[in-house]
Amino acid sequence: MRLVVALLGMLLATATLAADLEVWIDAPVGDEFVHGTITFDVALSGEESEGAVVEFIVDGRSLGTMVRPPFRINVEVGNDNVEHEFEAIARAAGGVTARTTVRTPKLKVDERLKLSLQQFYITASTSNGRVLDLERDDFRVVEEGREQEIVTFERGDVPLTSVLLLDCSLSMTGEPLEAALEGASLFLEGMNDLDETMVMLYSDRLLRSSGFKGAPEALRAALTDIDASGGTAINDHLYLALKRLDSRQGRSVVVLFSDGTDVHSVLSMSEVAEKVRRSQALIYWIYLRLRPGESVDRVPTYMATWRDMETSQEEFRELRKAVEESGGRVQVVDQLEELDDAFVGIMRELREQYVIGYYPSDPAKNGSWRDVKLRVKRPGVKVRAREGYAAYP
Amino acid sequence: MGLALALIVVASPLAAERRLDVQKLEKGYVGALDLLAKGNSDEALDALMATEIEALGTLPSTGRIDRVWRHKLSVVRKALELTSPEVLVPVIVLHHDAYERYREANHPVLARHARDMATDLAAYKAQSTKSAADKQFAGWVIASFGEQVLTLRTSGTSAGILQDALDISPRNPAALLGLAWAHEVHGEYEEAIARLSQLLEVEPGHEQARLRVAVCKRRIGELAESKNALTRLLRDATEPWIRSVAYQELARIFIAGERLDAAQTIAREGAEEFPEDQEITILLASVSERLGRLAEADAIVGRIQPSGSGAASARYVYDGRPDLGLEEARSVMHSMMNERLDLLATGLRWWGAGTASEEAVAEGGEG
Repeated sequence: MRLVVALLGMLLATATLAADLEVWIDAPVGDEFVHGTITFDVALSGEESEGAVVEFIVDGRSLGTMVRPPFRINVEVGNDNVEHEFEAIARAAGGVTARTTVRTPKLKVDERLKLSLQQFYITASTSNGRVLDLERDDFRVVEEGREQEIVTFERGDVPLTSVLLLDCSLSMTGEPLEAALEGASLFLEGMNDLDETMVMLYSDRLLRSSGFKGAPEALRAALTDIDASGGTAINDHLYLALKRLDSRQGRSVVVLFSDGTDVHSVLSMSEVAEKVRRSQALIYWIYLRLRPGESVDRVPTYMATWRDMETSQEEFRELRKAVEESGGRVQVVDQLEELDDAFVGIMRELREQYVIGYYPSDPAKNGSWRDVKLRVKRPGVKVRAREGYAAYP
Repeated sequence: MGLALALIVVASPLAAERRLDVQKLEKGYVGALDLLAKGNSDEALDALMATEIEALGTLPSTGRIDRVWRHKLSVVRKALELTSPEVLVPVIVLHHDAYERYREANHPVLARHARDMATDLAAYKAQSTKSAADKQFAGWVIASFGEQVLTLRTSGTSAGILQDALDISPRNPAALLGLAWAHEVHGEYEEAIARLSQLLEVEPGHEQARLRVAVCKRRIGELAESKNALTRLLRDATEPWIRSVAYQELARIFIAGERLDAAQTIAREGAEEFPEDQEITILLASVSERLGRLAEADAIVGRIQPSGSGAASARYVYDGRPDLGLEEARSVMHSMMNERLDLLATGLRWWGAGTASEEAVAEGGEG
């Protein structure tokens, strides 16, 4: 259904002249409502523009600085009907600075309808490895049997916001914890300029939380001086991680690390799975099994007052199902030496994903589950992405 | 239990496994008891362990343990003949204390020997005198071992030990609570409820027992009873972790019944009482979100701060081995021991100038 909207144009873009350096924002333009992933495109002119760098700022948050043209980034601004402010600051080598700002308006609508872009993060591969040269037209999106129109398409380095959720319970004492922290540190090394990550260390309670940061060195500090202690509450902290990501814009990811299944959470995995379906975050679960050859279906035979054997097995299956539904995957690790590759491999996979967005042809938001099939027209290519979403308001 | 009794009454010779210096063993054992009689309990423990390690090694066979046991019992029997059954109390407590020391020293077989010795002597005394006090004493001794094993989560073994304690002292609160916990770990909720109900007959106000009954009843689907029990707990329980779990479990009952508004009310009350309780806060956020109150859920989650090295969560405390309240019992055991040291000294007077027990003389060839 198309929306009839009355747009209130607000062209607030200004171009600032500063000596011989001028900076312009070519996109977005100031009279258009923006949402989802957009291109933030900046141009320079003037004698001082040669060698100048450009800092990109959206809604007061610096996204990073580019040192050479083209001064263009893709940025996810979310789907809320709100104003946004785009600011570009150019700095010439000689110290000259110029800045300009564009403000985009919110939609004025007779009937308030919330646009809801559905985004899917897709890993495409053949038996020979990842496929990195697909185009928009190669994809088909079918929701509940109805073909959908793809409105956004990105490939490669779309900025991501991630939560590294690391189990520091007592069973991780010693080498397992050291290896996990080392692997997580390697994940941080793979961050790009516009990426942000939060480190969350948990046991039966939240032990440490770094806040979202873009600087790997600041995040690495959160991985030091931690002792394993306490129990394991995966469900509670996975929910917390997803909630923290709710407020973030752009591609969101949870990298969960644990050596077993949940023991102490107050939330059941089925409740968290409901949250996973509401969220657009990808979940990767690095499962440190340390029992080589054992089936991934086999749950550690640990019993507790909160989870008898049967419940533990159910929790394990639910967690794995939720991870797969999210479009992520379970990475089983049998040896501590494999942990580095597991963390690095997930970061590499994230760098090689496609991001597709569309507005569902059925805008109803009644909480129902929508099956989404993603297909690639090229023969032999398989895709992995979330299997649908729950249409909540 | 039966073994000690039988060995005291009938001392049947066992085949020699290897050479055992019986006189040295008896001398060392009497020396340890003598140190204890003089009030030097730490030195007595050291001497006992040195003697037993010398005689048994760290991985003795069952036959060798039986022979050492028999020679030690012959010393005890002499003391018993000269005094009264009360002389057994210091001997029992000495072996009770040796158990923990052996475990710390990673001598599991010798620890087991110490435990069996103390358990059997305590049971023998209770059976011989038939007094309620002796039964209670034996119950504490055995339950104390059960508690220590329970730490290791070998709950099958601990259940057996705690059952032994209950066989002698059926109303022993520590054994009842420990057994209930072991059943709970195994998902045997009805058995757990049965033990906890017995405990509540002994101590009607036992908050932890009341909570565990309520939680177990929820597990087996007796939701109305569980809800009532949790509501009553929230009315009068004082222990913070118990109140926290009660809020959580009551909210969970409402969630299971799709009464999310009621669950939110309970969780909100809990969060007001325990603003830093992460579990209640997460539960409240989740329920609020499911009710469609997203902004409220966001605000609630925003309040959660890392606890660092703070206290364990209420659910972790619940899951862990319960405090069986045996510290006081151990203190009483040691007081009883100290009150009977003179008796022990009297019981050791037969030993002097190289006097050996009849068994040692009979087996003198082994040395």
